[in-house]
Amino acid sequence: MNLDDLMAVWRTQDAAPLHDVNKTLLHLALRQDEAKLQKWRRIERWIIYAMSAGFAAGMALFLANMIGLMISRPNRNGLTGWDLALPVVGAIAALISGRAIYVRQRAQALREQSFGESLRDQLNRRIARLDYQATTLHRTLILVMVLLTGICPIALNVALSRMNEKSIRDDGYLIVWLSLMCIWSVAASIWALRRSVQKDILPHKRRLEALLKELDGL
Amino acid sequence: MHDSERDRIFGEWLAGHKGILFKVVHAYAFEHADRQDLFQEVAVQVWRSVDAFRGESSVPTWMYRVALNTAIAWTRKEGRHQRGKEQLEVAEGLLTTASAAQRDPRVEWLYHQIAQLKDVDRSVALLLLDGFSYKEIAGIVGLTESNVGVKINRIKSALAGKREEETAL
Repeated sequence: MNLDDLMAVWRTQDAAPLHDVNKTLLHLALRQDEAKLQKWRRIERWIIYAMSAGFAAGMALFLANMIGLMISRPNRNGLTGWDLALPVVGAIAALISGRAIYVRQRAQALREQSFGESLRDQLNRRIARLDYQATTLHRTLILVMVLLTGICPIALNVALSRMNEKSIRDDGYLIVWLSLMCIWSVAASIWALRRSVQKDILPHKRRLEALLKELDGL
Repeated sequence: MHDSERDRIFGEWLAGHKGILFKVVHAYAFEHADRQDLFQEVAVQVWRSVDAFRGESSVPTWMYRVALNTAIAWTRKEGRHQRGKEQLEVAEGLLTTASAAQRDPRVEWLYHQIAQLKDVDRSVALLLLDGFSYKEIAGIVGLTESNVGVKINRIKSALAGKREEETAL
């Protein structure tokens, strides 16, 4: 049996396909899939915006309180320049990290669009996407957000102590607990991210790289 | 592009060339549930690709390209991974399969042989059997024409060898 015979056999499927599709169910499945995708993209985008905005707003409120305290009790507020610097630096860091995540996501989207449509391009696009997910910078940016979220309650606690004219040492245990919580949340985040990279991203990437090798192997 | 326009174009593509999707699904997934899953995944990708179609290739070439790209990187696990580890909600009854009596055993034999090939070679075999030229196959898969030629010679030899083996028995 030569190639022409095989092709003739193959083409018998065109008259009698091995499958058929339920168009109503397919239409529903497409709608459902699109709605889910849009929902996840919206959630992801809003989480970044909300975290940055929420933290910046919190820090602004914090700063406003301290400025108010300085004005109402100019000689007895116990505040130093560091107390003012902390919320300013925190708010700027939150805005910068939020913006950096947004810019990086845009850059990655453009990079993915630059690939063509062949199988090789598709594989390279998927690998680029996985690299992005696994990249240190991406993880670092997330880590910065976690750290900032941890710093916020500590800073507030210190500020409240100062505002109430108490010695910070009296409430030291609170700072210790909050610091431990902060360290725990950072450690848990690192562990979860590493686990995700090892368990999901790297095996997926290895499979795609193997396919690329297969494509090159003759 | 508005969704209704995309639906209309997708409907036309499906009416004219759904056989391409069936062939790809049949060559890359072997269990009924997997075929349902892969078909849904491939259909979704083809539907999404309507916006990107610029008419630089024919519709069957485009559909093959999208379907093969999706199938070759597909596993059930990866499907979940891409959707945030969420189990795909595959519509039961989306894809129906012809009964054994309705199937041509020679076609079944061809699929069985194709299933023995590596993932990329499987794509080349499907395109070859559907009459695509070396140039078209090279464009779809992302290889040079000479490399496609080498792969096709190997596939032909493998198919001919199997046929001879079985005839001798």
